[in-house]
Amino acid sequence: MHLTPFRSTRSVAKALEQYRSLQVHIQLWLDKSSKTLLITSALPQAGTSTISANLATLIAYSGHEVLVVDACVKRPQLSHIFGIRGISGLTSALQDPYKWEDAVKETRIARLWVMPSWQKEPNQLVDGAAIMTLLDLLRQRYGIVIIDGANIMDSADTLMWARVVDGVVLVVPSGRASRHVYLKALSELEYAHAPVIGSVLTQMRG
Amino acid sequence: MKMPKPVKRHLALSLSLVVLTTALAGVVSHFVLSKAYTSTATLIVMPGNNANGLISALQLTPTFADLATSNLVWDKASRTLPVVLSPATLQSRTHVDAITNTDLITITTTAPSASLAAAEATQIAMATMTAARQLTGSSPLELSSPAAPPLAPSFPDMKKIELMAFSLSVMGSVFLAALREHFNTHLESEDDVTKWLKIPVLAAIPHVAPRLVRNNPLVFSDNRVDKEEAKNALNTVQIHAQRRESP
Repeated sequence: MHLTPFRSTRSVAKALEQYRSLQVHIQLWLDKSSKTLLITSALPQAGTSTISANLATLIAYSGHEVLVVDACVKRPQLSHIFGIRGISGLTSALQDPYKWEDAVKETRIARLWVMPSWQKEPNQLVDGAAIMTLLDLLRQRYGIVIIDGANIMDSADTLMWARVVDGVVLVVPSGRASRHVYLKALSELEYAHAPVIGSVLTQMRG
Repeated sequence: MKMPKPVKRHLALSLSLVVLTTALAGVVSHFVLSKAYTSTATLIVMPGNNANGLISALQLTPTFADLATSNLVWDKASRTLPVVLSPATLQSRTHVDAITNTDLITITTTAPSASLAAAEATQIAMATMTAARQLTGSSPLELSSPAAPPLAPSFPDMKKIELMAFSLSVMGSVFLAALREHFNTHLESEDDVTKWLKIPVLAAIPHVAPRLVRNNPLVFSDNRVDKEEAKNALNTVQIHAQRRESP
């Protein structure tokens, strides 16, 4: 089990420290039970995929079995980050949740699996019941299921995910948008009865 | 010493504003504003040979100062100048003053060039002396100090203008920064998130340039060995877990 930054610069070192802080918070929140966590944002390109991938890696390194699901249908990133190809992923898993194992791919990192997203029709709404069944099945297999969600303002699917997961983390890129945007996103999450456990501030400068 | 974040946020803009304003003031005062030069000639009223000579000289000083501002003097002085100048213009540029309790009269002129200012002051002084001679039949006035061409313009005062521009721009940029800070609704820090969204901040991740992570957002890699790093990370997790479990 080896954790090492690519390059020791001040910003990378600080990022490592903050990811550890996030890992600790999430592991305390897990409290030895299996849970599902949605990482989403109010705006696109907030860094949800980066956070999902790094958090999943860290938790996997600490000994938990982790599945990270790419629910960013319009702009899937996790396949690229983990270098995964040739797998149908989330779309097929939602069509038949009991065959979810076909949609999961092992990564180079021990105890870390990825369910990529290859939906052909991004505008097609996902089935809430299928999501719930799928998450129940995944929860039985993995220590934590991290869902990399699309931004709330652009995707109605994210609210469906938010409704059925155990926790939601809102990613807030520093200085990107007015607080009213995030307050609106929070009110949407509140409307969906989403259990928001906290936020992650990203792209901090200085 | 660590700079407060709001100051740091507006520092670049504020500094730019101060530098630009000061530079602009310098450019305007140096290249745009018309320069003016001031030169002064001094006349002395000569005391008479009698016992009350000095007293009468003091009493006559304001009279000769009035003579210096007469049309006779303006006409004569304007005719002898190297440039064509009307008596009225010359009058508007000139200030004649009888210094109190002395027998001195100062003639101060302002002109667009240093040599012209000196020439004007000298010519007015000479014209006054001639007029006085014609009136009294003697030479009651002498040129105590001829006008010299000034080395620097009397207007614009570059240092004063630049100092004023600097001071005003500093005040303006502080005001602007305060205004921007007041109306800034962006969420910049952990405090902003806690204050406005009322949810805890689990982590505040700095911006990491893509080149630092080789264009891959994963800041952790499994292909390098650093046991100490791994040990530290695990210890952190375990310590927090123990703290939570302890009563």
